[in-house]
Amino acid sequence: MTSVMTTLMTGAVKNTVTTVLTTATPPPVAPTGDHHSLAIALFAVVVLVTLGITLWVGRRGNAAEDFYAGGRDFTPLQNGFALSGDYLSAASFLGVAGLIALYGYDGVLYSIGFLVAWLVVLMLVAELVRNAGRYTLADVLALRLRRRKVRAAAGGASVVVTLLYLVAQMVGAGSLVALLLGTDSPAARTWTIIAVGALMIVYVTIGGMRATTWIQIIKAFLLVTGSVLLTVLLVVRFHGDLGELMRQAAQHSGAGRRYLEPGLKYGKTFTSRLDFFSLGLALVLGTAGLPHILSRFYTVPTARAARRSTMWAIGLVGGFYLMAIALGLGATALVGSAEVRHANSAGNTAVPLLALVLGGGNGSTGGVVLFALISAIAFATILAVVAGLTLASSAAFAHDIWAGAWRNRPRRERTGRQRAGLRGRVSRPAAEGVPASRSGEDPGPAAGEQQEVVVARFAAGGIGAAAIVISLYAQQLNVAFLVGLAFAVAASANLPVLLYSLFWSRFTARGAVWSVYGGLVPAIVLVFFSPVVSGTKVALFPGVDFHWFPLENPGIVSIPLGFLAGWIGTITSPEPADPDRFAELEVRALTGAGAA
Amino acid sequence: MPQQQTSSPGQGQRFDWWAAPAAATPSDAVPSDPPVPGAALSGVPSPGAPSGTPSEPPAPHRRPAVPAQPAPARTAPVRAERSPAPATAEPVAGSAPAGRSAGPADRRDTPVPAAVPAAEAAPAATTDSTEVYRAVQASAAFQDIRHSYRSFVFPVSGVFLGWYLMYVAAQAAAPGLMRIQVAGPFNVAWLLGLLQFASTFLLTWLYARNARTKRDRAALGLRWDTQDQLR
Repeated sequence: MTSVMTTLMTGAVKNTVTTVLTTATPPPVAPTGDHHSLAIALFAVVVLVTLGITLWVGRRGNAAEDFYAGGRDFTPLQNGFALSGDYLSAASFLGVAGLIALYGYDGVLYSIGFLVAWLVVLMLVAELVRNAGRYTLADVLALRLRRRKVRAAAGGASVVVTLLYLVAQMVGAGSLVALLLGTDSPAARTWTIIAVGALMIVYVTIGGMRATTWIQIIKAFLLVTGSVLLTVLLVVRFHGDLGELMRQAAQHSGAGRRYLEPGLKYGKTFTSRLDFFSLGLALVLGTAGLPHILSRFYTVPTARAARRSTMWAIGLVGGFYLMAIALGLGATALVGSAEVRHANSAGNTAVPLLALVLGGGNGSTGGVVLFALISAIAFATILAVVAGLTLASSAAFAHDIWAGAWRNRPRRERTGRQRAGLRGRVSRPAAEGVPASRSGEDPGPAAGEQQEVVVARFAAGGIGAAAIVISLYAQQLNVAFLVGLAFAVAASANLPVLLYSLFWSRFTARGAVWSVYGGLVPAIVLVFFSPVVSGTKVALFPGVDFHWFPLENPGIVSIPLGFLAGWIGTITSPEPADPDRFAELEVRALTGAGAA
Repeated sequence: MPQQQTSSPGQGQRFDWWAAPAAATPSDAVPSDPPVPGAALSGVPSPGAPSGTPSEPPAPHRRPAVPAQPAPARTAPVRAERSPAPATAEPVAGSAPAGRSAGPADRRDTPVPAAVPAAEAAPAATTDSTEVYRAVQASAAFQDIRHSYRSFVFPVSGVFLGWYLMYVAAQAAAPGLMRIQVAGPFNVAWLLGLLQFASTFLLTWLYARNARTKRDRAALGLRWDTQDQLR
């Protein structure tokens, strides 16, 4: 083993000589003084461009179809970019690369779950959901389990998941902008969070899904471009020798070879290993239950287009994570773990710091430009993702909780529904004229859906405000942790009920309700009694200690509980499942008959 | 197959991704529309097509145009599904939507627009949707689709989930194994990680291929059939 090492080392001696020189740049610090002005200008450009898109695109239609599903006329390529835009959050761009910069291989381990999860989406969810639903995840359940309770449960779980994810994004925003302004003042973070929240409310209430999707597309394009640019610069810097990159990273990590081995972050104790397993489970199963991802599939016309957009998304997400790994290693090799940790204890600023070095170091024009550019991309990422989340959340509230459950609508008859579905298919290309007639759930469909959209717009404002307030209190939490938590809740509350509904003929309404709450409640309760909330120095309430659940991520317990509860609820159901409804769901999901 | 009559192979492929923009020229789009399905079809073995049609049994009231139906049903799904988009782009902007909303059926089978509206008028809303769905669900064609979907997706999901969880668990369970150097700083842990990437891309491709060759066409045919019966 060591002989291999030494031969390779001697082989690389020539390279080392040169790279040692190049990597000997003094450890950078956040850019100082007037250099911030460029970053701030670019931020302003991002804000103006996105607002322009919102205003321009938002006028194109006001129907429910436009607000929730962007008119359903995006192409697979566009939607693939939008999907990856929704998915590659600040937590990925900043969080994953930061984790790799700090903990090496364990960060890689973390990123892989995000990618593999897409196979679940692709194979089990995307096409069927596209065919069987209209705007939200709960639509799919409601197709076969026509119960207000089911809708309310699924809608509620969706709101919780998106809210958690929102908080993660906004905390990331605060941390990023604080670094950019070279200040760690709480006031800067607070105002950033408030500003981001206000912007996302504007995007969603004015632009709806159409504007949100375009913002996602542009953002995903920028993100991929920025990552490619940095990766190319990095690889050039190391003369294409990735082994040397890894070696340098290990050398500057302060952990030596252990940096390239598992265990630096997740392997210290049995508990932390178990915690990571729990996180991995949540990541791989959670994606398919994320409301803002699922609602993306409704923006394309067919299930086949949904599949293709997922394939694009897998390509983009996979490529992005491969680059994120390189960038994380690069940040360690060129900036150093200590410096990254010094700038932000969670490592969230590793990539901007790397950009600074790659551009020529602190003080050089190139470095500042690149730093500002990457920061602006990260900022665009945050804005886009929070907009997508707010939209999904408001849709879940207005369409599922308010219209589907709270405003009691007995008129969910099958005939009306499927006839409406049919008419929807047929008249879709004619677009704006008759979109509301598709609802089929309401006596005065146009009026009902119009009202629903108004509620959704208000809900976006309310949810945005709630997210702002929560984010202000959660600022010291690691972005990656918060995202892991959102995934765990999605995997526990949303995925079991979705899979059962799609594939299990005997699944009943009680099973659905139990499944949602059986996953949601344990997940929330376990986190509340976890070391994240109390009992440690970095906890939400550092002063007190009421934790008894040892893990940070509840997935390993709550996901099986969600599945178990659904199963128990079904077998103890007093009334059996309705085979007619399952037949309808199955036929529609697999063939696309009557799809909206 | 009339695929030779217009040369738009590039268009036929681009279409799906870029939908309307590719349809571009009005004069060209109209005639090229029918042939392209044929062109696409020629690439796909036709034997699968009949499997879409046998789904008829449950449809007592099938319209006379049944023989004509296989043609659109058989068109490669790519084309048929997207056909609305190019259609919107092609003729004079005003007339396209009008024609579409008038004859609801023409949207899907562009090749036989004439036959469908006629058939559509007759059975008008007489069928009970529940029976239709039950009948379709019981049909051999649907069972085929269902089988080809589930028999691929379930085992493969089990495999990749198992492979991922094993990979994650191995980090904790066998750190010694993970540390073994493969080449330079590159160890087993990194190798497995990169293999996760590779397997994800591979399975994505396999799934898409399976869907495209085994069930897309049949599902699309069955979709129109079901919707006809429901009307």
